[in-house]
Amino acid sequence: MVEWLKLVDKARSRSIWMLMYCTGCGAMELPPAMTSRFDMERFGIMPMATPRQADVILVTGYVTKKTLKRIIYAYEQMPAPKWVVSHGSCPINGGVYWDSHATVNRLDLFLPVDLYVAGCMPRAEANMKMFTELMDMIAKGEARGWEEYVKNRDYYKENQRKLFGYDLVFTDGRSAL
Amino acid sequence: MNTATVVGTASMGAKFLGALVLTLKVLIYLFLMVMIGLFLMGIYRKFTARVQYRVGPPIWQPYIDVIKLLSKKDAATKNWVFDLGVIMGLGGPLALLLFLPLDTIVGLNFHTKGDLILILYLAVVGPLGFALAASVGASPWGAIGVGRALSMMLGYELPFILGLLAVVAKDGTLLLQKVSAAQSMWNPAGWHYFQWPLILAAIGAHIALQGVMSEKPFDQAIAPHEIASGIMVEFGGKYLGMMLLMKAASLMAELGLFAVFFLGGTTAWDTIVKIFALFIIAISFDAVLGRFRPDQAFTVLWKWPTIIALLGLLLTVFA
Repeated sequence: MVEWLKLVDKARSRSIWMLMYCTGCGAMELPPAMTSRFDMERFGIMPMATPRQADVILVTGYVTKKTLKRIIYAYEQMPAPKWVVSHGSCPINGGVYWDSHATVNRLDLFLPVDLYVAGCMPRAEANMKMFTELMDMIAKGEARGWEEYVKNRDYYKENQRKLFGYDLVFTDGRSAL
Repeated sequence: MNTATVVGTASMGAKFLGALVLTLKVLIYLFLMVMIGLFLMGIYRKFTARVQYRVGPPIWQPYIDVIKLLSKKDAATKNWVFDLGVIMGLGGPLALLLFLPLDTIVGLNFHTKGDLILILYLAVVGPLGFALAASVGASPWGAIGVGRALSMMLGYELPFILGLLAVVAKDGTLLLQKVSAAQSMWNPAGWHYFQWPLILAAIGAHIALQGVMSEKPFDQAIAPHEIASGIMVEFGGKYLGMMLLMKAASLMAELGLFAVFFLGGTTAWDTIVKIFALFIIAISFDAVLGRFRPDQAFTVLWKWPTIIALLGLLLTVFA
């Protein structure tokens, strides 16, 4: 059974389908990582069109209050196991928008972030490093953010409630998992 | 009386054993076909990557994808119709595969009973199940995808069936076994594809085959950049894994049907070789072409392949 789980973890690490939630300028550095120069598909990494098909959500850029709602909806629609990558300095500490009235400075108060990529913007090399790191973490079974989200659901939901002023309910009434 | 009972139970036991062996053979056969279909999809991804000057994923990438998708923890379902549609979608092409001569690979002979009418019925079960599941998915993108898929089905079925009918008119039979027996196995001059009036029907059906496989330029229903992967939009996790298996099975079924009708597919092995050849041709076009708008695609399908296939049919019947 343990061997079988290892095999499954290996398969998960070699087939990462990502949902690129490109809120800001971060999208610019992903095409070079996708096309012939760096070619992320040789690791089985592909962009996907919908959250239902995705394994990892890339939040690439500043997070406003409005977009955060959509990010949470998208994240909760993804089938577990799922991972969050906080990409660029804006979702980590606010970046250049740190004192804006509309942006959220720290994404990891609201969603369980598995991996941070610092930089403004992180270049394609940093993206590839991020993907190989994420692959290693998944293969070893270390990236467990989706379990944290269930375990510490009260904490995350409380933070979301404080920010929005009301409970964020998943649209078809299903729980987050 | 005593002996009669014994004989009765013995024959019951033998019947049961026979049914068990048959079921096992069918399962092994379908498993093999799906595995070969997934291998074809691996070739597709590697080939496309090479055309785009990339290294591309390993050729066994679709197997990894299927393992990952089937091992997802939870699957977002809608209601029982959604589940039923997915099962229909997978079951249709699997049932179709049973009636192709590929089944000699494990020593089955269902294909001697398969005729064109049955196969045309079974061919629409898969796409209809898919459309059923997508339309209860309640996503607007899914609805657009279903509309496109059904109108495309109307578009490619006409030239495809006209092409097949020309072969039926030539050989005077609907049975697949007799159609493939009327051709040579390896000599291209003996294939329907390269005989005079039938070559027109073959070309028409071959263009339509691109639509049947929903490869470019006829992949409107699952256009990921326009409509967020259309009919696939609500499928995730295990459902998407089953959809990949369905795609693999229907690739084998569609290409196998074409190989039997036009390239003389008689046994399992030569049909598989011909399936690979047909698939390479199809993905070469897929790699370099763009996508038609839905209305353009429909017009193109009902114009050129239909005219060519109809001409082939008329020449076969009257000339």
